[in-house]
Amino acid sequence: MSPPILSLSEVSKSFPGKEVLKSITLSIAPGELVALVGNNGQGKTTLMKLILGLLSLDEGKILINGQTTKSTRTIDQKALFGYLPETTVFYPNLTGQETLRYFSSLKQGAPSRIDEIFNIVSLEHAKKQRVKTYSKGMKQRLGLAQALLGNPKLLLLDEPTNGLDPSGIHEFYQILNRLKTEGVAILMSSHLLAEIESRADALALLKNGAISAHGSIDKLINSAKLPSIIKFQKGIHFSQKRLDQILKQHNAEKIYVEQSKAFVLTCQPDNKQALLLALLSTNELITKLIVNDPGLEQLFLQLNSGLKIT
Amino acid sequence: MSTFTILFSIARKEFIDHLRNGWIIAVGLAFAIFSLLITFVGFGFTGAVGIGQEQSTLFSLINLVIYLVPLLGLLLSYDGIAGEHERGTLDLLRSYPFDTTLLLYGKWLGLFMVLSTTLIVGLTAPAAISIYSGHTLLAWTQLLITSIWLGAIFISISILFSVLILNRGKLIAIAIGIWLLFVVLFDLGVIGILVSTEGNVPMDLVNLLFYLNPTALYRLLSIDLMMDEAMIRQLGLAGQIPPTPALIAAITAWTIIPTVIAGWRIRTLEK
Repeated sequence: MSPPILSLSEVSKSFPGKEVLKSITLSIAPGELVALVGNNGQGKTTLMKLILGLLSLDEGKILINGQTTKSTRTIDQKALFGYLPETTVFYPNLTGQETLRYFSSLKQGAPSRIDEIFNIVSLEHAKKQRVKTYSKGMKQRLGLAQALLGNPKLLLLDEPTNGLDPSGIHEFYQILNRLKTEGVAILMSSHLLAEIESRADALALLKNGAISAHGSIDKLINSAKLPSIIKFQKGIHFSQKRLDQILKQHNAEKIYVEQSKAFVLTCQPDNKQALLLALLSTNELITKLIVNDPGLEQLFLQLNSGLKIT
Repeated sequence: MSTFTILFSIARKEFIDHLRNGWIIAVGLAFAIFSLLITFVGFGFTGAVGIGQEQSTLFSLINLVIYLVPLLGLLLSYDGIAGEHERGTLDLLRSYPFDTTLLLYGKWLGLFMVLSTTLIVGLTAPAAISIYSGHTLLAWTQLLITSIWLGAIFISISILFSVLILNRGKLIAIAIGIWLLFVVLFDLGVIGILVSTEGNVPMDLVNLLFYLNPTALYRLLSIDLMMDEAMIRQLGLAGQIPPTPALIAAITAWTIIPTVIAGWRIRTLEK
């Protein structure tokens, strides 16, 4: 595996009267997409600003491309970044093209890349319009286009899909996938857990300024041993006695019964297979079976309510 | 080379932004109307074309510049950095691979270009009429250059506060406060000192006080450059005006020092 482009070791940051980040350790390798999740005010934006050198570090160290840094970033280090802040209002009187030309000149990038980037973010048709005529989603794409200028090696995206419609989100992740294959490392904060779940390589959950869980999403969900939810309806030969027997045998729990026809159960992942076999092997005991395995949303809620993953 | 590319990119963007939002045209035309009124009134009072007429018109225009240009410089620049901060682009630009002081100097240059163009728009019509009536081009050129310079000082002051405060609401109040202080209250204060001491104040001290106010320095420099001896005597300033190099040095200091402090501040910014 390639050496990480970014490593944070025991990074801490306080503002007067508030410790915002506590002992954060995290690393991102080229081609990796790490999602930073957490409720509002947990320090996600502060962490990005520390990486960018916009805020000074209290403790710990940050390694960028193997070089140890404190608070200031060299021009060469800054050239590795592509940054999309959470809220950016671009200059309303400039056109999209003028905006990108402006930012490109500040990154000393080749103007020829601008058209290519407009194509990547699907804004080609609107590049000659003034930014004040852009919809929220178009402005967000322009922000992403700005972050892609200068061939960054590390993208820091703060809530990048805010304001994008479902097809916009789909296109956005296609862009990220393409960048990943080119070796770009991505650190992205988001509240939209469903969209991260199938796309991020790893997750870092910030809670009270500390990372309370870090690793691949599948591994975290498996380690958390969250229960699966099983729904079914009564079959023709339904027997309450037989059902209770099966539930007892497999340590499953009935959560509720909907209109006395549908049942909802929870069971531990280790028992799930045997429980399903037992339910299905009894002649027409149940019908219309639906199994919901735990996802990132359940994991997030459990971790936020105090679950510890060992 | 790339330093200049960045500097001019920032300045160019600032200029285009103000050209498109109508600032240059609207303010330039308003200034042109005021200065044309003064020019015509000057002609009316003095009758036939003559030297006295040019002197009185220029003197009135110097006073118009003293009232308006500091306000224009302040209002143009108060949100120069604070505006970037509030729209989120300041952090973005600080993450870009260039020395952040260039952002400040580029802004200054762009705003300077905006103000210069506005004053050129505002002073061209009265200058053309006056020169057509037989007056000298030199005095008008001097008026334009010193006016732009006065504006540059207030751009520097305003940019300094913009980077120190980073809050547009507070900055607009500060801009108006600075204008009141330098354009209205300072002169009243000096008059108050002279009246309360019945004029028993060493002239050197009064001159020293003028160095603390860029509009006073501008007034003295303009009179020194543009007014003839008769007019200077009429104004009671014969022998009282500090040497031209001293005035130019003081005005230069007022332009450069606030910008350098602002440049240092934006480097150490953490917001």
